[in-house]
Amino acid sequence: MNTVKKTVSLLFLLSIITLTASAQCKGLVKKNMARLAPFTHNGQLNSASLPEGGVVDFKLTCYTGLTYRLALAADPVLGKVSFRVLDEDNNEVYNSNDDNTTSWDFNVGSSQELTVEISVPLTDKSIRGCVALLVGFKQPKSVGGLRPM
Amino acid sequence: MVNKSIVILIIAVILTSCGSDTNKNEAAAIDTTSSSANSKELMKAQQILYTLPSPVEAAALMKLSGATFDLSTLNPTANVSKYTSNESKSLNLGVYGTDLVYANIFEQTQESADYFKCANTLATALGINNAFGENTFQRVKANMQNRDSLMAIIAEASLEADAYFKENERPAASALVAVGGWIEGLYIATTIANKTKNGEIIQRVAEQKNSINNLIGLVESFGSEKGLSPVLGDLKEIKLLFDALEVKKGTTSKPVGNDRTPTIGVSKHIEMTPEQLKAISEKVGSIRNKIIK
Repeated sequence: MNTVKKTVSLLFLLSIITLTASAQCKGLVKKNMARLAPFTHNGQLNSASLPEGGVVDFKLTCYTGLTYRLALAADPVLGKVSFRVLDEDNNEVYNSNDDNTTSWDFNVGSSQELTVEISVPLTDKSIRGCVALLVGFKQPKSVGGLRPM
Repeated sequence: MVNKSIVILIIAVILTSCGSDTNKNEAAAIDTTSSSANSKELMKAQQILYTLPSPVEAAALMKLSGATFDLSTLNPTANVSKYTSNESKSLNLGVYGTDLVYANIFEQTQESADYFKCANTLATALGINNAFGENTFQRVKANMQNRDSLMAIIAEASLEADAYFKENERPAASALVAVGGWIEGLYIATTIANKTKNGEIIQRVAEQKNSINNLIGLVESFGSEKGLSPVLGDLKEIKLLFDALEVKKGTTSKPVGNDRTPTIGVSKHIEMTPEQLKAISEKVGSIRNKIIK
């Protein structure tokens, strides 16, 4: 009976840990949503839980006629997380380390797929945290901007 | 011995389940004895996530290209009671979500309210109470005349739904919603393209050649999850048709324009003949009708 109780407790703890990681990512996205204004968020939860030194690639398609904003959000415990953008020929077209920002606005000359690579710096600590890519877009002449209610 | 085995198993499960909000093409094991540089490459190779064009984005593109509203292209609201399995509910939540966005972007107030109700019905049936619930509905009613704010509310509802599936270990449902939404968007675009012969809209259809690979990548990442195999088969049939479109590529241009908002990327144009548009339209129409019947 003690073994059963311990098993149930550990399984419950497991479910809490899993839920907490996912809920933290959603919380991180919602907390940073205002950084997209006046762009409209694409409505998707683009996030990952990464350890120190971790890297994740997000593949997204961007279209001519819209202006895009990419905003990086990361758990502070991860340190200085950076992102870079590669075009479909794998050429680097942006690196956040070059201008020390965590968001970037751009247009594409032709509709195409881009890769956004998010990197967590290496440390000697054993850590894990959420990184999220917020993607927003707007039409070139958006009427009055967006007012999230 | 039995106690130790159970504890080791549970610890192993805990370690491998962290990061469960990434999709399943992440490898379960990482060689921890590798050098730091090699570990980074392994991690880089293992984590690829796919972002799809959202219905909000697709509708904005259509309006930019000169499309007009046609209620007959949308899934009738009366169909909402037909969807009884979780798979059909998820697919059609995506479909009605797209219809809601189209109705809104073309300033169809009553239709927006009707499609919102359909999305709410299916979301509730799937257990997503926050995304399209009463609170959101009240905000929608209060902002019916403000298209930009309404679009932001819809995007936020989409995020809640997406997050709900991922937090509740139902990422396959999230994929089905994405598929339903994408198919409906492409169906609307091909219908308008065939009716109007508008060159810009035809080009927008052709550009979905870029998105289909990401959509398949997303669905494939969930392996053999229930309900995804038939959908994957359908998507691959569409992909075959898009693969036939010729891509004319120029050179990569360095970022141009002002420093704050440069224009980037490869210069290219996707060619689509009338016959290819017809073939894609028929295939998408057939799959879409299977989803909404």
